[in-house]
Amino acid sequence: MKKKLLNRIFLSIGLFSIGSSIHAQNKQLKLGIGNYEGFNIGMRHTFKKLHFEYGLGTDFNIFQQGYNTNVHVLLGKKLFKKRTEKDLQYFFQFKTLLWYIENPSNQFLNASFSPELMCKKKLNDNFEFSAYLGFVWTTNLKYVRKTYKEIGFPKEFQPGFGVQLFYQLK
Amino acid sequence: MRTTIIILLVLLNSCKKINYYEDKVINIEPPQKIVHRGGRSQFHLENTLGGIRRSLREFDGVEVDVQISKNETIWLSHSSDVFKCDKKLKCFPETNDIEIKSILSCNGLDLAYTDLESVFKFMADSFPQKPICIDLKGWVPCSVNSVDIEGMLRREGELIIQLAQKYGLAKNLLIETETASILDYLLSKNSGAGVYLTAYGDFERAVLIALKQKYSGISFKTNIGEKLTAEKIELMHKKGLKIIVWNLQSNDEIPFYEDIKTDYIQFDY
Repeated sequence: MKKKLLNRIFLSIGLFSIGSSIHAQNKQLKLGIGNYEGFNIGMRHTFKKLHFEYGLGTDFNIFQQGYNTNVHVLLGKKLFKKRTEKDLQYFFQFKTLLWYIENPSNQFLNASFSPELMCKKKLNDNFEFSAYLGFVWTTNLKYVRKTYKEIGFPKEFQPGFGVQLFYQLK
Repeated sequence: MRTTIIILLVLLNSCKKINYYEDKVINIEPPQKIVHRGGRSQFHLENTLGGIRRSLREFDGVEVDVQISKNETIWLSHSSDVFKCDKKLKCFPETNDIEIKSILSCNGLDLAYTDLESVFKFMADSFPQKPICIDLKGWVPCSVNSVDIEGMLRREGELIIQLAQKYGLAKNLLIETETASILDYLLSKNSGAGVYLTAYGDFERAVLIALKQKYSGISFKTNIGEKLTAEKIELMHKKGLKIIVWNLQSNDEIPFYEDIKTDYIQFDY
């Protein structure tokens, strides 16, 4: 039973890497902005019960703390089967981010983990809009000091939030 | 409305993901020379009142190593074991004061242990402004009775602060130890004593912990690991931290540590 399940997981990962899936109901292209993801682009694969998302992002140094780039992946699950009156759907998601930030004083490579709540609304046949709010825990993986002008470290606990627009691919 | 504003402020604040410590203004004095191990020399054994008297007369301050006895008296000793001549007895936490006081000499040489209260009495009378570094040392338990090292170290630190307060010397204390939880505990006493995290060459890590835990600074073992530079010390001072340096290979290194403006330089005669 376990072997069958593992085979299924590895097969799914393999198929994702070549852009296909055994059970994906649809694929969506995403564009988003978030406090940890920055301006991000990626894909969402929706299955019967779960969705899987991944993307790349950067904040273009708009927060004045250094140029931040990240990769992120998440797995989400629908919380309620029926849509609400306003056609909203709610999901629980667990996100993992690997982010790198560099400024004149330091370089940081960090990993963040975030459980979050996501709310999605269908705009029309092609587009969906979503917003999410979560709780991010961060740990520093690598730290390099460049100058002795400043000293700091990644905030350990923070809210994580953002909005996203999805375009239906198939 | 108020809740919305608070939520917005929290979210806005969370856009910044790196926490940089704010600059702090502290009183930076010229480097002070602190005599290591209570001024051990050809005339005095280490951690003895004789050596401490001489050190305080000639230099800016003194550093001593301390141990706690079974009767909760603080004794000066670098070793956690009580020695009678070359014979090792039990560890300090399991030895009572009568046994320690009974050790007076060995082959005509004065070996008597000095208690910290005698040092504080002398300082209060003669040098009430000079700093004293106290190295809080752990030990290898000699039986199950001395296994609670952290609990006993907390008690030891507490007693040192109480003694210093009794003689009006709390602000002269610079307590150094490598156990951060002990420093946290001593800091919570708000005695005005300085608390310094001992670092064995890992400057960056020690400074980050000291800033995070709001310690007075770090006690840095030199000639191992990261090299100290003027800009490192400048950054520490900018952030409100001080530094004690020790493990100098020779006193020829003192001018270097004076030049880069370290706060306290521990050296041997």
